[in-house]
Amino acid sequence: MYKADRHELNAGWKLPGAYGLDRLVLLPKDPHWLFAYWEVTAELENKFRMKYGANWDSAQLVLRIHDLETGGYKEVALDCRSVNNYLQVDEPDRAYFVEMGRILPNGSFISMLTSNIVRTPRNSISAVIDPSWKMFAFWRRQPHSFVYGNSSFEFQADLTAAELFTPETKEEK
Amino acid sequence: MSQGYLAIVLHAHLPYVRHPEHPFSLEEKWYFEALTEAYLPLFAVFERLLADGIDFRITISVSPTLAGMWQDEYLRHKYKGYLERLLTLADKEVERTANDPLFAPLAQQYKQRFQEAYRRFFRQYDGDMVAALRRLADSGKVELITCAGTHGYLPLLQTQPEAVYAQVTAAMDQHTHLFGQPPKGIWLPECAYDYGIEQILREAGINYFFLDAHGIGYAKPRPAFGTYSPLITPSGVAAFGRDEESGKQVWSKTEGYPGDFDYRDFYRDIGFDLPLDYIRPFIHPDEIRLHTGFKYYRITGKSDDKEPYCPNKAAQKLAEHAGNFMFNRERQIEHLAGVMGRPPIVVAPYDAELFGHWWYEGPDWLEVLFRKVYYEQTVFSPITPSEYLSLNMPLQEAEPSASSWGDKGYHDVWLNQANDWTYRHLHMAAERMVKAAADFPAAAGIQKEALNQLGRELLLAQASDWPFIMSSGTMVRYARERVEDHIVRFNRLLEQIYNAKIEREWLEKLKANDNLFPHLDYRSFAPKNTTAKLAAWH
Repeated sequence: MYKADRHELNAGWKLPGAYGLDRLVLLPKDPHWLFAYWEVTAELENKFRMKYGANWDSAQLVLRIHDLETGGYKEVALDCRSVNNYLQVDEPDRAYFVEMGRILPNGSFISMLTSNIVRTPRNSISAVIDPSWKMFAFWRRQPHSFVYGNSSFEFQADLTAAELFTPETKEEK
Repeated sequence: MSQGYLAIVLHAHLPYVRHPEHPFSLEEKWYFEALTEAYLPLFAVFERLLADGIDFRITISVSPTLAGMWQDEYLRHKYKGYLERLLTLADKEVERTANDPLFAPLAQQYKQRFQEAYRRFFRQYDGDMVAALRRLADSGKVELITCAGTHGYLPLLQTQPEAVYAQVTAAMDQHTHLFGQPPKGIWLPECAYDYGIEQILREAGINYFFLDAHGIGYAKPRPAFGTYSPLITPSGVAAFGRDEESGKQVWSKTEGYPGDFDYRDFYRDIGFDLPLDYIRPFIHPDEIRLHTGFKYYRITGKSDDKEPYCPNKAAQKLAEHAGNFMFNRERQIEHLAGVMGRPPIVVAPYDAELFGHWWYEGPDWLEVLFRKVYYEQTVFSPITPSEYLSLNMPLQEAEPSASSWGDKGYHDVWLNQANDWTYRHLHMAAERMVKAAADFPAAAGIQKEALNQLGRELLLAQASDWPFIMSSGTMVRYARERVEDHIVRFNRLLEQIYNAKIEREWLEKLKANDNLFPHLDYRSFAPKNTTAKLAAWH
């Protein structure tokens, strides 16, 4: 049996800090939260810097969260060193996308990157009724609320946690 | 004539934790414990029920990573050493407790159990768990379904629908190869669903999947029958909803059966209790104390004062609990059948590893339950989802809600500050994999081997277990390294493929080490004109 070594298999490589691509990716987390991460290359920043001059770097970096149903948006200011952010949104079951850009001193928004679209999960019973299906009595206990996570987490976490009891053995193999 | 149906579903899954690079691996020990304490005893239960002519039904989802470990020669060999060591400890324990009237019978019982595991695995099954399960499935009473390839958390991989598709097809292909026919259903890892996944399941040839109660409950339009009937999703695939009531009775740590004071305590183990000199050969080589499987106490109560375990009392209790579960289902199904005017289905899914590993009495409980259901009541019948669908009852069309069965009900456990860094790497790798599949549509020779291995590394990186472990806070380094290792190997291999400079020797090492899905075809990642991407537009 050949015995491989982790570092040998990884051939001395490490996880890259960046991939050298411009991208803005949006993920759903729950009915009111999204997660966005991004990568902006120096080339892209330079392109805008050339166009907008000295103002560019002092312009506020923002994420615009667009609501596809209303066409409205809200803005979240970003620290220019950040690479991701959790974003609170108002509506469950709603399609959103985000745009990253900077706000110039004159107030105009310059878009740099656009994300994919995600739709938030729902957190309530639908008001939409299909008339061909009669509704039954168990829906009368309104508001009907479901108990979440009544499942694997506590047990599964135990399966791994129980193995390592003492703090000093944590993180050890 | 039954008024309704009960579908018990066991989800059997462990991540791919094969580590030939370490003489001792804690992660392999999880797998060996699950074999000894859960999978083998559960198979024994179903074999006994069949032998006794009990008309039961169980649906088992076998995760492809688990099936892959079952098939692995190296792990079979290593399991032998594990069991032999356990049997040596059993002999020592029988001797040590010989004059102790309370512990001697327990030590004997453990010895018998571990001997039985050895006999079953190596003699009866000849090391082949897959063949054993296939024989069970041939009875028609056990329905085998699959799970995503490496248990990837699909909603968070959906930015590349091809990655989700490849997770599903890798699973379908392996299942078909091992069990002789394609699975009709799938257990979505962590019951996690996002809009559009049903399209991918449809394209892959899946008939049904499962959702947590609110995934069905919050469907649009409102589901007339709640979780007591499957829905037809927009793609035509059926979605079954988990029943809250039966879930709570088993799962809940506070109210559930497994927490009963007469049941065996999981935490008190001689690995922690006995002197180091005695226990040293049976714990971690670095003298870190570990569970050995010899546990002599019952849960007793909330404090640390534990009383000796009494198997007879526990057996009485599990029979009571099986009766209670059956009684509750009878009343529930009677009531629902009356209200609905058609037979309801109650879907009760559990992690297979709960039975026997964590809940020691779990396999016996399941056996007693099926016997009671067969002999002592006529209100409901056990059923598989496929059988239920073949009753051809009209099903309502609706779109489920994005959801999971994890803490807080959505994606929080797999997307938080402990693990969110992984997605920028996973998505980039998936995107590059799809592109590579397009750039090399007809690779051959070493290039093809490298592309197939590229797919394996991506799949292994995508396992939901890694972000889960990062959230749970223990063994974090292991999970971090697994993501890192597979992504790093992916990145390097990709570069070699594009530069047409593939190092044969290194590739062989990767193939030998990360050897899940020997039949994987990288073209399953090819770009697809899938509608899944557009699902968010509704």
